[in-house]
Amino acid sequence: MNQGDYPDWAELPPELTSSILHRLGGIEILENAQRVCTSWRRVCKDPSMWRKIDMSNPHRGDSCHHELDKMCRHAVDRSQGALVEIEIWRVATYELLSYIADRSSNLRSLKLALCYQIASEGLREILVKLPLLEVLETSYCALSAESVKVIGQSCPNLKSFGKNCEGYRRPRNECDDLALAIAETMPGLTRLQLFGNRLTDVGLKAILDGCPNLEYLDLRQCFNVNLVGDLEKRCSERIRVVRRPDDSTHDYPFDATVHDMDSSEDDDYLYDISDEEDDIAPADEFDDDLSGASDHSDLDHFD
Amino acid sequence: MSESDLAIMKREMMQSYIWLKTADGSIQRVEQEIAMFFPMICQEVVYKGVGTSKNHAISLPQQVNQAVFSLILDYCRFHKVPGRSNKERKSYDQKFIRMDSKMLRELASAADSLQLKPLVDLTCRTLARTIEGKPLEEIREILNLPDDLTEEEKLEPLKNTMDDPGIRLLNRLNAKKRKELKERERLKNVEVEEHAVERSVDDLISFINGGDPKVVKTSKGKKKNKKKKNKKIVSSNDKEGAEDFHDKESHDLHSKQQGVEETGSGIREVEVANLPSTEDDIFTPKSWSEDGYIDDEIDPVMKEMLDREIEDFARRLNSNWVRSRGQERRPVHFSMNGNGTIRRHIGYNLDVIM
Repeated sequence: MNQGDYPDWAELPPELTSSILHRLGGIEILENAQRVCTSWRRVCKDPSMWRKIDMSNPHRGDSCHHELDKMCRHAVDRSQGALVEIEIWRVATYELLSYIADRSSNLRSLKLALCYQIASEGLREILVKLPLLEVLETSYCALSAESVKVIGQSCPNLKSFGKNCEGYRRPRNECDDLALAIAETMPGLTRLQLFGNRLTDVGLKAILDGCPNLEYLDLRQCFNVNLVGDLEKRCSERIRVVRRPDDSTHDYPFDATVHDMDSSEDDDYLYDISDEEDDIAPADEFDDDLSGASDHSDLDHFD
Repeated sequence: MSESDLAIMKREMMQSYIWLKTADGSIQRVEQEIAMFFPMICQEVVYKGVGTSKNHAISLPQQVNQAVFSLILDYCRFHKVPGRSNKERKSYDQKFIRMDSKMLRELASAADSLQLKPLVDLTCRTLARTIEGKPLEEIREILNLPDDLTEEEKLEPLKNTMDDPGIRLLNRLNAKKRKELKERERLKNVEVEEHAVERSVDDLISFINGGDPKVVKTSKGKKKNKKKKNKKIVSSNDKEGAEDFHDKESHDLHSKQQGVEETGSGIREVEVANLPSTEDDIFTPKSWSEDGYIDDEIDPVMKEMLDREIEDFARRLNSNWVRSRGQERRPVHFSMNGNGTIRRHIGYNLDVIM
């Protein structure tokens, strides 16, 4: 290797290196990028790298939750209180989110996906600690309408809200609770994503009434909504981007399989509900030992 | 000159150019509308009035050499055309960034210095993709990076992320609690039979102490534990507690132990207490080591481990013994090892060397 080649990377301004490495996501930065060379290590330890943390890494099926939890905490530590955005898939627990919330009062954006370990009430409690929140997205996480109301009231700056779940074409279970909660408590919304929601036209109307500033509305797989007539007019006139129930899901990051159960058989219906629970229950990644009681220091191999 | 020629000439003259000088000294003229794409060029033209002639070419940043600049110009010329669809632009981008990583890096650097954000994003994204998921050595190879971290730095464990002292304390407390519970459990089992055995054990101890100087040395000041250990040993071995006996005392002890055997019938049923003992003790497992002699220098951690192993073993023996008790009372045979220690035979052809 030509000695002369080395200086090139060192000449690269650290912000640029940071910009490149940042795209790898929090986990890979901690486990990989940081160990390449000294200049990268320096960049990886700089707080600016950790203002926005991406702990999604959908490929990361092998690391146990405990490790990922530690990594996440470490990442947050590195931000030194300047954390502004964080996205976590799977490993969020009440304890972890508390840890984050206590150290990041400036948090503006929180996105959670596939986090089965935290209950709706837990999430509600955390979000009450984050009054500056502007973006909240939960996908396949527990979040009740009640909690949404509390959150809406605690986070007046909320501009973007999303609650995504599995879409059911049949059975046609209808529920407007969430829609009404949003309409009631989130007047400042400009962006709303309700993938797979069970709201009906009633809920939609409430939202349109309650959120006059909407610019982006995603109603894909909301099969109880009938976007016709007046409703359709209001949407297309006032909202810049409307994703309709049957629109394409090619850019949806999660599994967009539509559930279509023949509801003529009552047994099936009941089965479906529990089936849904099973669907969203964690399969194999669950690390039971999350109590922290045992010393996992032997697992630590990253800085 | 024809009218059309004139028109062309006119158009040519209307087209303004900005003069730019790349890092490696080459002077070029670039169409104004393209040049103004770059914020810093805009500034230079507007505020300093330079770039309008060859002699006053604007110097581009040092990261921008001729080769890289021509690439950047291509990029700009393509994207500035308004009519193109997103798909077209994406497709162009994909083809555009097909270059080796060294070039990519230079391009990223140049775009950054010219503040051309879309190109910076594109190149950074591509560079990230080239290193994503790759092993460290490969990354260094691809990007010509030095392997200059210390071994320590490479393996650096995560600093205690549970910096929360609360959690660390909790861990410690939990571990402590578990240990305490275990100990309490053992003590409970032992205490039940304690007084039944005490006297015979006392006798044994005094005998042993009197007889063997070596034993005395190790059992100094640990009477309480000795008692407990005795209990354990007595109950598990059923007779021979002390392991180290001198030749001349052996058969005295033998008879003694036989005596104990008689009185200790109830002892057999005692659950062997897993008594913790970290102190030096005649009944420590050292004496149970295969060598058959006391190792005074044993490391306390090892000792504890051995303690536990022996206790386990003893427990198993005891339970075996208890099981066999119903069938027959086997006399315990002693035999001498070459080095003066006693060997006890248990009924299962299992020799425990003491």
